[in-house]
Amino acid sequence: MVSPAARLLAFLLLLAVMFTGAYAVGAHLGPIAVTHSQQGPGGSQNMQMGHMPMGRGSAR
Amino acid sequence: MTTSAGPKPTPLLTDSGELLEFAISGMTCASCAARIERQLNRLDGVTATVSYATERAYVTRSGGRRPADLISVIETAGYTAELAGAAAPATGDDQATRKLGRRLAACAPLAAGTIVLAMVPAAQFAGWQWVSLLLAAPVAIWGAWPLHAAAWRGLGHGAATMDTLVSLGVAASFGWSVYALLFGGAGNVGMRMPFAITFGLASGQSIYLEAAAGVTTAVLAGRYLEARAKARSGSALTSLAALAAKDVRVLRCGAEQTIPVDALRAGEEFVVRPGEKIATDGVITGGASAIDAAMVTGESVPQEVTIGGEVTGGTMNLTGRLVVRATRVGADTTLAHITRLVTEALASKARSQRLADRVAGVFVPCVIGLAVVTLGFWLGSGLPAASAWSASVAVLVVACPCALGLATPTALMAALGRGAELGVLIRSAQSLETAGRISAMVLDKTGTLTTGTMTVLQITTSAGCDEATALRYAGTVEAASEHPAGQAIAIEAARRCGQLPVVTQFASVAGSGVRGVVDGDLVIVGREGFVAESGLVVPGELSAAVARAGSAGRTAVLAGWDGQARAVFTVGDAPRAGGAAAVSRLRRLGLIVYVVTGDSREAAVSVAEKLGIAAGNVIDSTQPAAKAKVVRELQEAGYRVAMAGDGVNDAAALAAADLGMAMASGTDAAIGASDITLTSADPGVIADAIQLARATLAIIRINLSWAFGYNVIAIPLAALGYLNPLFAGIAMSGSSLIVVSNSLLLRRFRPRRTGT
Repeated sequence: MVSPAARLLAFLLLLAVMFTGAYAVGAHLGPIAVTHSQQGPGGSQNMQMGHMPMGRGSAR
Repeated sequence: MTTSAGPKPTPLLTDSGELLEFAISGMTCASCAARIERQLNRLDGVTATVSYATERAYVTRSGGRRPADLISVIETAGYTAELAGAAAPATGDDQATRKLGRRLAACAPLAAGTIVLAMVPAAQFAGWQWVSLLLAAPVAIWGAWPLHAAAWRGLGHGAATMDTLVSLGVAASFGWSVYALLFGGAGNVGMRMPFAITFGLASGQSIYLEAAAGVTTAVLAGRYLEARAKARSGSALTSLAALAAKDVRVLRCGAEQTIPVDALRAGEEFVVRPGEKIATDGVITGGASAIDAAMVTGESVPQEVTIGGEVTGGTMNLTGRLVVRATRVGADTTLAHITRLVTEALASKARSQRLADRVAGVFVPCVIGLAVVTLGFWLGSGLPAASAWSASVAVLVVACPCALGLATPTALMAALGRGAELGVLIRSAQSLETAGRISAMVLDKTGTLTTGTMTVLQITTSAGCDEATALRYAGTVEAASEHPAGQAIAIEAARRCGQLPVVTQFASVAGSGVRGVVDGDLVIVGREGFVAESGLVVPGELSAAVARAGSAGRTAVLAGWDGQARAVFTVGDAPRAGGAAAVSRLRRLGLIVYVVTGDSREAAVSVAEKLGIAAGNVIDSTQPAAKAKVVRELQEAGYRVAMAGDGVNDAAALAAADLGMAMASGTDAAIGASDITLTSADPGVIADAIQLARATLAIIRINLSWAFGYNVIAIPLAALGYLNPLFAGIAMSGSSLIVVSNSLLLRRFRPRRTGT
């Protein structure tokens, strides 16, 4: 039987692999995704995504 | 460790040692139970079974292991334990529920304040975010502490439960909010959170304090409802221990000597006086009496016993003094055997898990994975770390299972309230889940389908004597008798004739009958043999009535005076009103109905026929082990079996069945081993319980579908940055509200008594 510690380690490794994979996909599709997100629903108020604070809280 | 103010529990003896029962707290899933079980079983001479469903550990110990040693092992594993005493479980549960209630009462107003500040832009005064932090911090840290602790314990043994997800979501949203307030610019005085349905991606200024506080409070509310819903039920094993006699009057060197029952050895003779419990299984060597064995064997009619007859430990001696030679002691007795059967059945139930935890095992790792993927993707896309991290936190916040947490407890709470009005007390969500899927019903005869008490069912009189006269004479003499059959005649006489005359020269012959003078006539009441021996002539029609009563499994009592027997009283256990209607409703619900009983074939079939159950579905003369075997055979044949019973002899079958239903008038052991307690004497409530369970299950299914549907839609939107967590928060509250309203529909549930 697999020990709980080994199972946890395997899960963390899996997360690391998923993170790396997602990072690579993001790097490849990134510009499209960010542009799409900026132009998506509600995009008009968040056009400066990634360049200045926005989203839920915006300083006035 | 908590301390118990209850009476010291009596350990039970089994063939492999002493059996102890511990109440465990702190378990959050079936894997916790498995972990404690592993730790205990590592000890030499200890065999342990831990049930998550009943929050109990059953430990058989041999050698010198003290209960304190076992408790310290359980505590080292990260849980608390105490020896389960008669009063301990209810006290412990009450304390835990009250503690949870106080935590909820403290958190609810703080969370409400945080939510209003976050969701109503008009309420956002200068510096509101810092006030919000002050309100949310106690909720996210102190309020959610039991959730964090449970998640930490789960992490220790690699288990992902709902606690893991809630704790992670609360910690992530609160931790992120603190970071954003201190370093991300959200702490600037004058910061506002405008209301918007969607947002691009969250930024370093997003704060989710209302999510941290709201989720914690919703989950605490769900837990509180669930804790309140758990019926306060005694423990089957403690009740069985209470049934056993503590002391025995042993005959040594011709003198009576009172010793603890543990010190009694097989082959020794002991004395049992009227009204005392028989200490252990044995054979009668002196005296004659009537034994009430209903508690152990299910026999409704008291058994007349005399020299050479066998008696069972735990049964009650009613009328005469007995001298018994012990044949089986300690772990070999019938009662110890029943205890073992109950333990085995309870242990096998521990393997099933709660639906929410089964789902959590898959759902939680998936959500954590998705949050990590979201973080990786947006970082890779070139977004600032703050925005990517924020989106990842949004996934965790949106996935927090508020509605999922409320789906079952609210439906259960509503069903419990309605059930109590109908006479059905449900112990847990799991019991309801099972009750909704039952396909076979096994009914115990005595006490469930019948009243379980002796009543006069029929009076046959000889020519020249009317029923009132016979009742008046026999009832007057029997009023002075202690025999249950005699008591039934006396009660019937008092009911029908009013004030009875006084009996003089009363005499009782144990196991045979009574005699006394009423209005100048010597009246003889008793068995046919006793009446004949007393010199009375028994007419043919009365002999025929005696034979008919015998073949129907009932007791015939003759009464006579002036040289002739005048009447036969047929005494027996009367079927409960509404029994036939209940059986017919169970059939219409698609269940196959069986009757099991410890009584004779004649008595069983006679009752079954009145209820419309075919003789083929009647299983008679069953011992406790055989009842559990009948249940298991039906389970092996593919049925989900419910068992309804009331006696100690039913406890093993009740525990073995998928669903145990005990009559509230039944023994504590039966109630302890059951999942549902029926407080109404009408057997129709058995069908009501099944119908209520099916309706509740349907509501829970709708609730869970809604809660999951919400997550399936909300999580991807949050990951893609298309869902403002503010809106997600509202949707989450809305989904919880829908779930609660849906559950409240059960308050209006009405069982269909005429059709299905």
